[in-house]
Amino acid sequence: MIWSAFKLSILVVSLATVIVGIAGTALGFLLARREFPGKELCDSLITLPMVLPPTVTGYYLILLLGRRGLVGRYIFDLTGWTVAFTWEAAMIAAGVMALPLMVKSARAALETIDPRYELVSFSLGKGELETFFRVTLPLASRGILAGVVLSFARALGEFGATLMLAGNIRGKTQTMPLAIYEAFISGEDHKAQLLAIILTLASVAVIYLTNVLTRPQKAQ
Amino acid sequence: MLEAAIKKRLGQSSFALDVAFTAGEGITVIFGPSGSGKTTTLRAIAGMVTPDEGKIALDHRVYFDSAAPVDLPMQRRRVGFVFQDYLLFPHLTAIENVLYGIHAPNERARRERALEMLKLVGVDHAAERRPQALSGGEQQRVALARAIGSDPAILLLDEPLSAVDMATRSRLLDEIVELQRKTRIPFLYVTHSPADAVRIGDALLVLSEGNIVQQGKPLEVFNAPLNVPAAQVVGTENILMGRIAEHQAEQGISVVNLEKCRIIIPCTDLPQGARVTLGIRADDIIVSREPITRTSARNLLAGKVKHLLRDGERVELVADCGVDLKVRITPQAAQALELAPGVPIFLLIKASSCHILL
Amino acid sequence: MEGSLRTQGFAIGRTTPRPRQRPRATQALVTAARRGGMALLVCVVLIGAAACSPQTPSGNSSSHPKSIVVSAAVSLENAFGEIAQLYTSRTGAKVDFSFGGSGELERQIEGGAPVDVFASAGAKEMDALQAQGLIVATSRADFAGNSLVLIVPADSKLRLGSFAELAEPKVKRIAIGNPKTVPAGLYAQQSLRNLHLWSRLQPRLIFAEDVRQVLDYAMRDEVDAGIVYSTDVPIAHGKVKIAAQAPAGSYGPVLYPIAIVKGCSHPEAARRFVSLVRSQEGASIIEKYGFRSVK
Repeated sequence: MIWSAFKLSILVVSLATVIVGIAGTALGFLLARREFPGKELCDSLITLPMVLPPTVTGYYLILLLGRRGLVGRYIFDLTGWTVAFTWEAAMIAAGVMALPLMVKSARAALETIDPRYELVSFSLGKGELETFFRVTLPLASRGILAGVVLSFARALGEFGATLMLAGNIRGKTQTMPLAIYEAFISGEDHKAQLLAIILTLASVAVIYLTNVLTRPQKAQ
Repeated sequence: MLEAAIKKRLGQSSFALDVAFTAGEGITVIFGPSGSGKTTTLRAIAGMVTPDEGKIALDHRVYFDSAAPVDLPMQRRRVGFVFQDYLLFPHLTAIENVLYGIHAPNERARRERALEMLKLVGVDHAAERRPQALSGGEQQRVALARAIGSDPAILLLDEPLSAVDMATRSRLLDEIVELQRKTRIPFLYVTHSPADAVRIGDALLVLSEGNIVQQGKPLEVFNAPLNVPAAQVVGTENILMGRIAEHQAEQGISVVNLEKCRIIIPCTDLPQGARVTLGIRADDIIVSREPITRTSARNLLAGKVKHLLRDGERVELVADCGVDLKVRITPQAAQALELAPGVPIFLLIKASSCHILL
Repeated sequence: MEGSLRTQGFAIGRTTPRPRQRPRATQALVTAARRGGMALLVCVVLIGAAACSPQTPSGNSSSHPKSIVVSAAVSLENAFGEIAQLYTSRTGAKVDFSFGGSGELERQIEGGAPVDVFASAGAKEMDALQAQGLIVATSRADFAGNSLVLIVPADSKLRLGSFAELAEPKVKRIAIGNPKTVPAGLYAQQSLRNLHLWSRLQPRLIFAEDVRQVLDYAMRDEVDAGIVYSTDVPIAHGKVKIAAQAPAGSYGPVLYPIAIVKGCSHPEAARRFVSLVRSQEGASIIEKYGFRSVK
């Protein structure tokens, strides 16, 4: 039980973090550098999962992706596949809860970079994409990396929305937080303790990394 | 050659830029007080800002035309830009900064050209250093190398020396002139410093509140403004360039040779033959209809009135004494002396009123 | 020289770019939020302090308490709700319920939760508490029985008529309670084992946290079939239908025990609740909701 929960957590959380890292950075860039109608509304919507109780977010995810959901029903009709009780659901739940953290970190990191560096790059003949990867991203890398680490931690600890969307299926969707819950209510205290220790160590590592990455640099 | 006609209204303020000019070979200086629109003009040419109306073309390649409409993005304009605060990429070394803008068929050719650029500005010894480890002057040189390395058709410089200390400034000014002569790329140089403008400009545009109020050769414009706005912008400094002819230390004076006359200034330790830029305030010059010799003023120049400008309670008079000089007097004085264009006059200038600018 | 140049209107030194302005509306909101935030913080602190102050013991005497805490298996939710209303009208004491999977509730009591009465859906949990001396053994009694049914979503196309048909490949997902922690799940496991279906169906089983969650999965069409108590079906308001009854004798018997938790705060009021449940009135309410009453 512990091993399968551990493997599943690593798989689900790693994938979720990669997707959230890319999407979050892109969204953070849009919010930091571009003006468009409804921009702050967009920011509020993205931040919502961070503020709503996880079960409410889980509820909305079910409304959206369940077999009878707004989007889920079309997916089911087209492919016969539904998201509930799959590891993809656990990944989606973890990703949705971690995304606001990533977007906020990325936006903050990008906003501290002088936008004129991008103008310099343009004046030297580079396009927007090349400028983003060769100038903006490297300069914002520390803050963005801190965001990735925070997202990883949030995804690792995700429980409420995962339970609602993905269920607590051992080997398929039972991530470590869910495994602790089951171990506890079925009286398997030793398993609960072991899982708790693993998660605590992971969280401590995250805090340490985040501090190192966001420490102000000396020569700037 | 650059042809630019730019109209732009900025934000909610009432400021409106409306300029039209051409800039040929050499260094064209855009001069004016802060807020006059100099930087906006530069940014419009670079493509950072879109004019409301107008046309910008470089060597007959149209960069912007509100009528067509054409608006080339920054990347497609062959414009190099040097910022006031250098803006070197902090995460790259000096040579990597220069390499960033260089196009060449292979890695080796690119590196060679980058080194060549750094050598051109004299910082090849610092190629592997990060910007944080360079002095202000070195950073500005790297910024110049980077901009020129991208093979621009025109180089725009936005007050590049205002963040540099006075001592380095003089040297950098000379280096910039030399750089332009070597690369033969037209430079467009924005500044609010009269000394810089006069020192390096081949042509001068004076901007005031969004409009060009005068253009021409720098010394001509500075010392003989044609209208009140231009006079207000160029200020009351007469700027004269000459060479130290001789010193008379016991008498406390030095003599400066201008093109067509000599000026006596307080003794200086600049060597004989050295180039010097002098400033004389228009308020410090006395006008006389007769040659008065027994006064403490060491300079008595003969000339005639070129033109008079009435600016409120003052009269700005331009006199031709072998060199154009601005003089400021009261309307009463102008009337009492019956001054008018063509009238012969004498100018009295104290040695201590002649200040060394550069 | 610089001084005179300055008075003539030249800006000496660099011109710094103007800082980005917030639009006015946003700025007003930010200022209001800052001021309001201070007030809110003060309020929150005051309320928090008030809430944390210890309850005065005099308010809740053990013979005339204002409320008791009852932990009960989730399948009893509706029946006990009605019994509680009766109880309150009789004694004036309110009933605070904690409904959940029996295993979870057992662990909470082991952890010291302030529960007065415990009613589980199976003997296992009650036995565990009794072994640890956590219930008043003399108060323990079975008061209701239930039976297991196979349900499918109301619009299911599968046409299941018996438990045996679950083996067919067209049934892709079957939900039951977690056998380790949910009595209904344990009964379902017993039944499937006795029907020799357990190992075949294992990969297709979805474990739920309690029997109502099984019902929920079926209602939402997330599973093809589920095993719940017959008493749960009416709760679904027609969104599920019964496909088959679990063969009698293949599981259980399903007997619900109730007991007073030892050392609880209101033993007298708890005793009154238990006797109401076991009384004739309690039995008829239980039967109304589909349970079998037990003497």
